[in-house]
Amino acid sequence: MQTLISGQAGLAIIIEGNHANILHIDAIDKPIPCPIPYINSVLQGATDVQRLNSNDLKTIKATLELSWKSDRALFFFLILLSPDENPRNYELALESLNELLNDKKVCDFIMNQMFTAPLPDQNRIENALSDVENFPLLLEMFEELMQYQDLISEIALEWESLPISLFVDKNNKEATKYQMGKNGIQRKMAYAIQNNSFNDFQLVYYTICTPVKKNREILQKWAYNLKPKNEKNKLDNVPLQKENDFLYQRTESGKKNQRIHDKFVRIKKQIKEIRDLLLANNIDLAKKYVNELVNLQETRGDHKYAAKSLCDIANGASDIANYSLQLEWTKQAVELAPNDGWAHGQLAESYLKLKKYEYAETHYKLAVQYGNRAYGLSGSARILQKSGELDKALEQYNNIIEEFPQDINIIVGKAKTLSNMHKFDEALVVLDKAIEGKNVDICVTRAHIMRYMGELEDALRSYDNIIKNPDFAPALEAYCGKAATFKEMGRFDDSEDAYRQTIKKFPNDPKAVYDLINLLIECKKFDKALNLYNESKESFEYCDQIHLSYANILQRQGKLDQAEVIYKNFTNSKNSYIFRNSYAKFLKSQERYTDSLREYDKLIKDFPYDTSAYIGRAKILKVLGELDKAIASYDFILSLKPQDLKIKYSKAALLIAADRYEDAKVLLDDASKAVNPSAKVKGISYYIKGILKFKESSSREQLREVKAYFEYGLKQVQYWEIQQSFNLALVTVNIKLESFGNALEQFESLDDNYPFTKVLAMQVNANIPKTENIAKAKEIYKKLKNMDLPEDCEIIVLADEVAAFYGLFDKNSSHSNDNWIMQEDIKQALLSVA
Amino acid sequence: MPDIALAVSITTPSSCLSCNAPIAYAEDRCVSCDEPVPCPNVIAADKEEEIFALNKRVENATVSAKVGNYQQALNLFSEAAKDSKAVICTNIVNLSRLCKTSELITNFYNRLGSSCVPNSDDEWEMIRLRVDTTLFPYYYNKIKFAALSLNDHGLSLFGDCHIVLKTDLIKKRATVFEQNSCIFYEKHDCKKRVPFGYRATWENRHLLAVAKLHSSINHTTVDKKQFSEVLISNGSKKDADFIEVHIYGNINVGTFEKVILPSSKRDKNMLEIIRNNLKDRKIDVN
Repeated sequence: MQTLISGQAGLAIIIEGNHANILHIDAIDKPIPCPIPYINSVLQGATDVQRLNSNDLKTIKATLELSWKSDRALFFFLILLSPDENPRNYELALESLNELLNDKKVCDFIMNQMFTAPLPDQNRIENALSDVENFPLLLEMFEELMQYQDLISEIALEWESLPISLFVDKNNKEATKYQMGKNGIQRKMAYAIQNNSFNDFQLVYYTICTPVKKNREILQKWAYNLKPKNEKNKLDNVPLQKENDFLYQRTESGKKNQRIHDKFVRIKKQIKEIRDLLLANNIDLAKKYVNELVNLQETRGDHKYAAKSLCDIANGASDIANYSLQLEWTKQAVELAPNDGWAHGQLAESYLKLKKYEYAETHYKLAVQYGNRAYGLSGSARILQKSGELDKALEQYNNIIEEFPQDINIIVGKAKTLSNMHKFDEALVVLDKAIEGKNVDICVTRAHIMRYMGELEDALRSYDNIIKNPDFAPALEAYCGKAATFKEMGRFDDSEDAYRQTIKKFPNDPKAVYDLINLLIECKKFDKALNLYNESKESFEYCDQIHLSYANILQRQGKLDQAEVIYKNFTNSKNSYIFRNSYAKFLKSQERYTDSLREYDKLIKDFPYDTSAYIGRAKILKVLGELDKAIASYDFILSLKPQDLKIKYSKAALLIAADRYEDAKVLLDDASKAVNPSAKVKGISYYIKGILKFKESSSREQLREVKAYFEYGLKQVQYWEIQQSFNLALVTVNIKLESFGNALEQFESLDDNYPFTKVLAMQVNANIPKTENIAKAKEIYKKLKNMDLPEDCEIIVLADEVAAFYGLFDKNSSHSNDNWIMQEDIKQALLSVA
Repeated sequence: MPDIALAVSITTPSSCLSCNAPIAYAEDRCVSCDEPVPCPNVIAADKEEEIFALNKRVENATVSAKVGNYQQALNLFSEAAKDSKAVICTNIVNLSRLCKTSELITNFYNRLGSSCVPNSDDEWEMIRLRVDTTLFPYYYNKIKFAALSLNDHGLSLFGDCHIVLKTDLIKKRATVFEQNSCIFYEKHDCKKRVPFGYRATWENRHLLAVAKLHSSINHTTVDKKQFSEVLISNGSKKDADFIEVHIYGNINVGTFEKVILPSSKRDKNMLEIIRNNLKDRKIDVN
């Protein structure tokens, strides 16, 4: 961790990991958070920034105070010397200096600076002398300044004539000059020359200027014409300074006989204790122990091991999703062991978690440079994968897998990339080729791929084998994968048992907890879900998904106001994408379409490359009848994810609904070339084909075939969202077949908040000539009209026409038969899958 | 209700109007005849692709406003934004430096900075360098930064002194940008590409404001105070959001229209000195 202090800006900036806080001199106990990229703007123009490797508030306050006083004092001192100032300014300067110069360090600071360069010709030192007659200290300072002006000029001139070759470059020469000025070197030199004590000065010079490269040569050349003649040779007698003799090692006395193994075991124990503290959310104590551990290892000269300890502990920070702390510790590790490839790799991972891909890339390259080649090379591929550039990621993996054919990270990475590209068969081939096929990561990845392909039985078997394998350490992903597979198969009780087993096995991981809560919500076991949430919320306070599941519970229980409060609180306090996206979905589910659209617009503004917000926006625009704009949203997503089949099919559905059949056909043809579409995509593709069939069907026989087609599809598809579309299609077919009883039954499986569901319900009830059904149809129509939808949007226009056609209200229908209504129904059924 | 008029090009020429030589990249004077040519940031913002992409965003904003029933409020916001100004927020010392450029101050005070060696490993140094070389290649040292404001105040997170710049002296060399360029660079991963549609010429600044901020407007946002809070939100906090102004070339006290100074007990005298200096130069100061 680091603190930047500027007296000029009057602030200190404490930087820890990915966070920074500003402390103003006037309000040092009230830190103001500041994003790291803003630091430059906050420090703009400040030319006195110092660095401290400390966050001790007392030290920071003292340093800032001195820095501020010194800066202001110099400013006022120069005002007194500046000609053409407003006369009142001289009075103000004097008044301030009177106070500030009580501190000797401030006086030294000013004089040190004033000895670095002569006064310009335009100065008012004589006037200043008369201004400060009654201020003895200032008088003394000005008199001294006057007295030494010639010497100051000579010293400055000799410095200017030093060759650049003694320094790194011109800037370094300037920087060295002023660093020396800060330490009073020019001033000390002037005194020494004046007082014939150059030898003493040299000793001081070498002590202070040890960190300066070629300091001896610099002094020799600089002082050659300045020092008294009888002192010339004495410079040569000063022993050579080693360039790096300010670096030293101390070994701890009294413990040289410590057995290495004992040391190792103790450190391992300490690391575990620290990681336990992190899990218990005791961050401050964890940090304290980390500092102690690292200091101990450092004093023993074990920089490399200190770095490794830090990396180990940093993983503990990652486990609790505190990526800023992870960054802090891995940065420290690299500072301790800058040539350690592993440390650079871990730092790269920290940056990757924070999506700072450029920094991650830099450190992956350094990992390669310092010996961690496989990890470093695969890092670049991981970055490409994370940023969605799957083709380039695959290319990268192909390049490096030749060099490291059995590296697990590379094999799994390549397989995951292929899986993300829906090339599941190829992914499996990659995994099978690995000789170490018994590696747990490979087996888990394999099982996941089978699940994505919809091979659920095989996936289940694979997960089970991994769990039961005595050679494998317990793998959370296998346990969670098994539970998720049960869920996808509709075996909810088995899924619940599996999640509970996982939680027992991995009590410190939140994933199984929030997955189980969500499962219980789906199964409408709200009390159980709530209990689990209450048991877990403190342990997993850092986990957004856990808190989100609470909002979900409330929503599903119908406690909408409370749910909204949760969403809003977390959205405001955490600015979490997950929460904001869920809040937007919540608003949509409450038919608050304009509010939902606004939330999606805000999300797009803040997260311009996250596709969920664009999908959400497209769905709202679709409901509101803005098909072209909805299509444009999908176009943008496809520009980021050109291989996303689900998006392609969704867009195709919109194109068909917008009567852009040719464009839809091109897209469908392209999508159908995919080798391994996921089960979800297969479902959507099947559905769209069904709708096209439906559009072309006119006879009862054809309609019955369409009905059978959708009924079959409904049985095959396991995703609730797509099942909704199938149910809507079935209701529509049943209406066309005039099987209103069958249609009514279908409504039990439908989300009745969806506007189109309401329209269909209107139609079905309007066709049943019973008083209660007609009344229900009218009631549904009223609800529709009260929804947050524009009057001219397609759904409302359709609802109006249905109401008019069936005489629900005193309005004339625009059509003589229900063909238009039926065509619109089919269009809306198609849109439901987009 | 009429839609907001879309952005139009200010038709920056591609060759020098005096001698017809092609305008060299990142130059503000013709390399042949040394006559002034449009600044490189203005040329960049006036590109066809930028205007097209910006207009797309404005259209999306208009659609959202229509369906969200806040089109009127958005129109009002757009009109108000046409009067927005560039405001620099800085610390008191930086301001004093801008106000006072005597040789004495330059020799001793301004050059103190050489004593602080920048650490090129620092993330905030690295990002500034990356941003500058990506967004302003070859001319980044000529760009000064400000915030677009409707109430003469900028981002106090960056400093307590608010300097309003004279529009007439900057309008031909200023462009506006979606947000703080460092935050933008990270958000859009600009190493790979700098997306179009996030900058505009000074004339089109109201459209960038509409494209960016429409989701913060609703039918109850109707007065200038509210619009100000939309244009710069959370100005003193870490999630401060604003439209960044990029001004090519020099800014000095002659470019100041108005200065708003803080009140500070500690720096009372220094503030008074600065106030006196500003008043001596006939600049409006509180």
